[in-house]
Amino acid sequence: MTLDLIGEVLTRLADHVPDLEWPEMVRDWEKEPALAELAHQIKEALRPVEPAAAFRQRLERELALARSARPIATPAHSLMNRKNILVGTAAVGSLASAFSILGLAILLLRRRLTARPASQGPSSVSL
Amino acid sequence: MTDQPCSPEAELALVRQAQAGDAAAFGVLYQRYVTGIYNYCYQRTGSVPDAEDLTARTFHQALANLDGYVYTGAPFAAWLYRIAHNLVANWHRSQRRRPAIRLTEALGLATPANGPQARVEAWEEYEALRAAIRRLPPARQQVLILRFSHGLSNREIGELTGRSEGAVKVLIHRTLSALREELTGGTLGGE
Repeated sequence: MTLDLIGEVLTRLADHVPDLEWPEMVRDWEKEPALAELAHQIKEALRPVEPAAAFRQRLERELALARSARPIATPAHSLMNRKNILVGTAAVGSLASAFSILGLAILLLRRRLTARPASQGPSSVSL
Repeated sequence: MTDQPCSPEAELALVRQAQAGDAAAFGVLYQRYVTGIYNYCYQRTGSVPDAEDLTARTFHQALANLDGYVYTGAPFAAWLYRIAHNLVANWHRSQRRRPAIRLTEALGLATPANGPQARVEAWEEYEALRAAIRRLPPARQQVLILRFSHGLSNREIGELTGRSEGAVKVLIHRTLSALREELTGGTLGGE
């Protein structure tokens, strides 16, 4: 029932897709003489150029200098690892702190509990 | 164009070496892509000094940000071309055109093998077309240059620009149609 409905909706939608879109998807500009001719002219107009050898060499030297002045590289994945280690260490540290506080609280509570009967003892004797 | 083919794994290994500080590895990447990047900048600006300046800035920026490069499945060239594309966009925003200089450069470089008369004729013939191309939206200029100047396939252009092969094919078709309309008296379609 639902699938039939979806099928019906999609079919009706496809019927209303503008005619301009579909022919372009399947048409090849190389098979259209006017566009193929224009493409040929564009190829001529945008004929590839190469940089001058002097420029290439100068830029290569500049980059070599910049490279040598550059600090030791730390790739992105190493940075990610370092971040993970920091987060992990911080989590372990926080957990350890929480346990320490809890342990301290338990210790104090125990001391208080053990100290109370001892302090109550002599008073009951005196009475 | 002169971007030499290389397996993605080999290129990634080269990039990793360059990231680790291997000077020779970055040198190989530079040699592999400098001509393509220069050609792209030249076709977008029409000026040798500006193309040289933008090419230099592209590689300096790439070197400075190499540590931040993360492989996402796209070729390294896509990252480089994106830097160049952004720099060219900034250049277009900040620079004014200087036709007198462009004319001299175009005469000297566009048809290096021909004589002076032929150069002038070729320049006049194609200048209107080049001007129309430079009025296209940047993304359309980019696909035209990669297709017709670099000679890349639709699939390769898709990899560089983050589009599907079909989308590139449609974009080229639309761009050619818009250019044809422009050259025969219409206006360019935006994107």
